[in-house]
Amino acid sequence: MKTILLHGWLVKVFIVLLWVIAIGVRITMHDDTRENLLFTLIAFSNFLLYLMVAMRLPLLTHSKMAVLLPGFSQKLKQILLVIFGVSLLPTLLVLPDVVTWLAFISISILATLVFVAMIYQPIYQIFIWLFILMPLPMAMFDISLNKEKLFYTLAWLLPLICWLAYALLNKLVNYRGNQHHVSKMIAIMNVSMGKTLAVQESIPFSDRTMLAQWWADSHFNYYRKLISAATNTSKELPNRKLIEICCQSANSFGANAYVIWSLGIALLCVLGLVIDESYHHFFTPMVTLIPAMIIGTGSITLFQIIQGKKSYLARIAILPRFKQHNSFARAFLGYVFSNQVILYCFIAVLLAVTARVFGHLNITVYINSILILFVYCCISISIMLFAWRTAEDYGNSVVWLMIVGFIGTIVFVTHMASSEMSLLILNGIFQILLLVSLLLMIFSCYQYLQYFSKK
Amino acid sequence: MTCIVNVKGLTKSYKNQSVLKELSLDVEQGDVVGLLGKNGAGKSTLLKSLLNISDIDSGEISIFGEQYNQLSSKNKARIGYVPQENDEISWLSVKDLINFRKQFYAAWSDEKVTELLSRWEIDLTKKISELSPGQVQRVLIILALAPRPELLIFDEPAASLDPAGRRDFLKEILSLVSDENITVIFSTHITSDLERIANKVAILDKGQIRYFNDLDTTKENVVQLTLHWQADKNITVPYLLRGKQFLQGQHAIVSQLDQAWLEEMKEQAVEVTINPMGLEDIFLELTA
Amino acid sequence: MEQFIISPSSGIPIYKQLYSQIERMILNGYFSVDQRLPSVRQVASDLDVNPMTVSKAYGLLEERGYLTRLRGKGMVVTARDEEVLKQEKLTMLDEMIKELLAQAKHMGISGDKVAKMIKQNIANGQDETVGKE
Repeated sequence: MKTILLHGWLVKVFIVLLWVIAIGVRITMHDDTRENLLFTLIAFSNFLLYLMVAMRLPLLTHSKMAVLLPGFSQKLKQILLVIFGVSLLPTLLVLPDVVTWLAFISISILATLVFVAMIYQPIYQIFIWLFILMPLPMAMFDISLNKEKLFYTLAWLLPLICWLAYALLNKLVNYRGNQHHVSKMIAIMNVSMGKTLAVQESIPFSDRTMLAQWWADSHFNYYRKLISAATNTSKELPNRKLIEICCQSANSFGANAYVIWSLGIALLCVLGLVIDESYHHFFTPMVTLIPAMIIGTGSITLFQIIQGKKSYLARIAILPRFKQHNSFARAFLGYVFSNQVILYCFIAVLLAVTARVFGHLNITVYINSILILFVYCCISISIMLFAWRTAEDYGNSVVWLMIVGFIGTIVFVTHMASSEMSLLILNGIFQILLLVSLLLMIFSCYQYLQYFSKK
Repeated sequence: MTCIVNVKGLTKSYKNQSVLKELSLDVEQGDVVGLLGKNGAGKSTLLKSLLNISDIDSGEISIFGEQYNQLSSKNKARIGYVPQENDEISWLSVKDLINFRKQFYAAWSDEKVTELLSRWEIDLTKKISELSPGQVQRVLIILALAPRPELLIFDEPAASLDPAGRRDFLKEILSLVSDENITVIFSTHITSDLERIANKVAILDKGQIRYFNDLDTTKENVVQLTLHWQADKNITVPYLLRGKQFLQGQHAIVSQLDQAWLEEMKEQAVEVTINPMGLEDIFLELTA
Repeated sequence: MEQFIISPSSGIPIYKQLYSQIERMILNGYFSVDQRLPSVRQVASDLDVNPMTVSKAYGLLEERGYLTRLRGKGMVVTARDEEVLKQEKLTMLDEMIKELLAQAKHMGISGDKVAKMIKQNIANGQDETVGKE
């Protein structure tokens, strides 16, 4: 059972890495300045672990094993308690502050409860949104948050929370409900990380929510109209457009995504302008998450979609439309580049606008962020191109590299924002990094063209 | 006869496993070649390699006389391929998908498309994701046939079709073969389909084409023999695949009938009864 | 429409099956002299077989003298010498008799016994005809 719950060595390595970094931070910490970093590291790594285990739980509770094996629930309970116990070990790093430590345990338990509930009943996802949006009402209704008092309360509530958790645990190991939703989750979880975000394709259309269907349809209708118009006027669509059509999916980041994001940010900014400046820092986590989400849905998803369509694209590449020996490759690169460049420019503009309103980035940090994003963009396109042209499936590794990459980017930017830093471009090491990433991308493109000129 | 497809020394391995090893094959114009092989023998790999959809390790492949990975646009349009799996765009309607695919070709027969669509009763407005596997297969076949190719490559073309659908598909291929002298290569494990329409059979086994011959010749040569003799004799059977002795006789399965040997047996008063075998049995004996 | 029956999964190649059938039909007069046989395409389409197979059968029949290819008309049954025709019929029966004897030997029944049985059958056949009249 443990193997199922903790499957995936990349995740485990990542979590352990975070723990090691946390230990490192603790050892080198002499005062309170990096306390937040420590908390973030521990919380993040633990939450990742809880999320991973929670996602795998349906595979066990709704498996045939659960029905057939005696003592199954007992065994499952034991293992879950053991995993949770082990996850609490890094929290010892926050000692000797007992109150914070107890509060941490409370937070961990509450987080696991929410994650597990979320998996089995999607309605509980509301909790995550509440947490992210919490700063807003707090700011609007002038509620101040005292960290000390909060931790104190949580520490004292620990026995109650423990009891609640244990009661729910007993319910969990015997839970067999919501078969329909759980089957969907299992379908998603049965796919490797390299494919998770793009797995919507395999869920039959009728099973998707109304919203998902509408979203997908409005996205696809643009292309359907394009094809109809071209047919009616006997026009030839450009090569790049043809490839673009091949690479579309229900999860693609298309025009409607851009519109929704722009509206969302606009709304946020309006709020930011209306609310008192002293509350702006509550918006920082949300605003920092935004580029992450856009890269996740616009860049990583694109990779997964194309990775899944490799065989189809290989079939299209041999059709007579691609007259020259590298027509296909050039058109494909053209599509990928235009798609990603627009995406990253969009992020840059968003960052500029939100920085202006919320002031979480000064001009130096902003320029540095843009440069770092550029480096990230170059490197991610390089590894994507590499994965796309090999026969073996490196999808998993690429996705993980991209995730690790931008988490690192965010951490670095956050760190930058809270410390004095000069323009990175003047830094010798960064200049080399910039050059290397640029060369890497050019080399990747060249390799890709070479590979396809053999076709 | 012009050689349409010429393969020499094709080698391909995947994840350190050898799939195709020094494979050679020549397909002439007008041939309808049935490619037989056990599951996992590499039939799909072979076809995909021919089409340059999969990479190969080494070998020479030429199609229509040109090198397979440097085909001119004109020759690319002369090839039609129906894959085994359905990886087609699922969110387009049948009509849109056909129009989309038309964009990739300079020449396209709308009449053929209309004819097949109506004959197979496919709803133009339905999305690909809403069609049954059999209907999807039919759409893929239409997409392949619309540009009027001269070389057709099918990978398990009738796998998703019911017997009526299969028969209909065969009819379509046969009418193309009789009208236009096209060349067909198709992989299948439904030997009865192959027996109807193929004139040549190729058996892919352990990475090579172990057997490639005219279908009729195959049936006339790969036969089961029953031998009876009176006195004690020591009889060796040439081209023996498998044999079983019994009292004053033997069953034998041979891969070739040696006429000279038959004459000799007659002289020696050995009774030889020839029992022909169907293709399925022939395949099993040749790949045992 | 003439109905040929073929079995694709048989060990006997389709062209041979067709050949035997048409040969028999010509010899027992089902196809009369100068009658045009259906076209290759027609037969192939009816039977759902490769036209090359039908071509092969027709070609073999032409070779053996049963059919003649006429421009514009296709394959027609050749007019043949009565003697030659009779000889061919006898050859066909001879083949069948050889097979019958081989089978009997297999079963351990002597040729004489077989001859006696044939005589008996002929006698019975005559009785029947007498009975009918």
